[in-house]
Amino acid sequence: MANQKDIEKELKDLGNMEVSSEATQALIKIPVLKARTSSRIGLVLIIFPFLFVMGAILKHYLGIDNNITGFVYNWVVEDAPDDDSNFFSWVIRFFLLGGPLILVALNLLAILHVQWLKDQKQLILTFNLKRWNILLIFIGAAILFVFFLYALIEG
Amino acid sequence: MYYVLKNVDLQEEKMLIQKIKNQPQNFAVVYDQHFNRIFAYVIKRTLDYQIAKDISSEVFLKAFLSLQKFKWDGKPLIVWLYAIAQNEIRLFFRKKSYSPEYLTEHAAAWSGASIPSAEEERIQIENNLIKSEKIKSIVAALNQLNEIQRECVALHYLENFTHKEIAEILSLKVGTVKSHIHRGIKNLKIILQSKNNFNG
Repeated sequence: MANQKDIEKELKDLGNMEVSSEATQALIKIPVLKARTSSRIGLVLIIFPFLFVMGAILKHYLGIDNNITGFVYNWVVEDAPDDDSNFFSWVIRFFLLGGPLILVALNLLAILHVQWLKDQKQLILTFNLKRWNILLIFIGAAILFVFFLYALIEG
Repeated sequence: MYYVLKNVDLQEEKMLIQKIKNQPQNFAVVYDQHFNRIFAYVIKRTLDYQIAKDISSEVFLKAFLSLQKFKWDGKPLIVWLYAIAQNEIRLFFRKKSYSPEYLTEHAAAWSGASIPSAEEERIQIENNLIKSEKIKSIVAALNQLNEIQRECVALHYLENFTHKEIAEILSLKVGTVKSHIHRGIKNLKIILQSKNNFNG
């Protein structure tokens, strides 16, 4: 098929091929949240709890008092006021626990889609495999797990 | 001269754009009218169901988001949609790991009709189009052309657009479009000939 007319015919035949996309049209993806934005917001939310957890691990388990992680850890644990109802304490709690929670929720929303097909009585769960979002969900969940474990042991 | 676009009622489209600006949900009309056409074009260019689905989503999402700022210039809406589709297809071919900027799912709200399973549709498309050796061969050859020749040839032969219509979609001069199509077909011939020689 290297004759010019044949090539043109092949292309036209391809052009004339019917493509039915009714179902695809109904299922098509339109964003509610931008995945990239979520991962950027996630990065901001994760820095503080991440440094704190790293600081705690490095200092108590490995005996390393690293500059940045040690600074965050000391600031939270040693410089914090003794009064638990203090505004500063609430801010710290919000960043330590709220940050990872919001991060996990935002990134889950960005990659997860739930659709209910009424006619077929089917619930369709779709995950977009966005590596940054998935990585941040794992980091957020890991930090929450560490806090949970700590609370369990200390409690 | 318009051929594909000759039946477009421009005044009606102008009114529709105004309606969408007042009530964005009216974009559903544009979506329902043009989705299948854009999707069919994209899948014939990429031969990948998932990519075609993502690119088509992106085209309509971008159109939807920018329609508020859209200034009507007397051209049919489909010209604008094809232009967006061309840009997305270009990104796909350049990056090879296409990641649409926006993606989550939109429910079936824009199409209230009862639908067959999308999975069945994907299988049907793959059997009819993507698995055909003949089609794979011509699309692979088409993809070896340079970007602009590839686009001109695809729009002309796959979509039946006239030179003038292609010139509007790609923002080129009519003469330039003609020349790209002419050279594109000549190059396709060379590519397919060398492939045939290679295969014996």
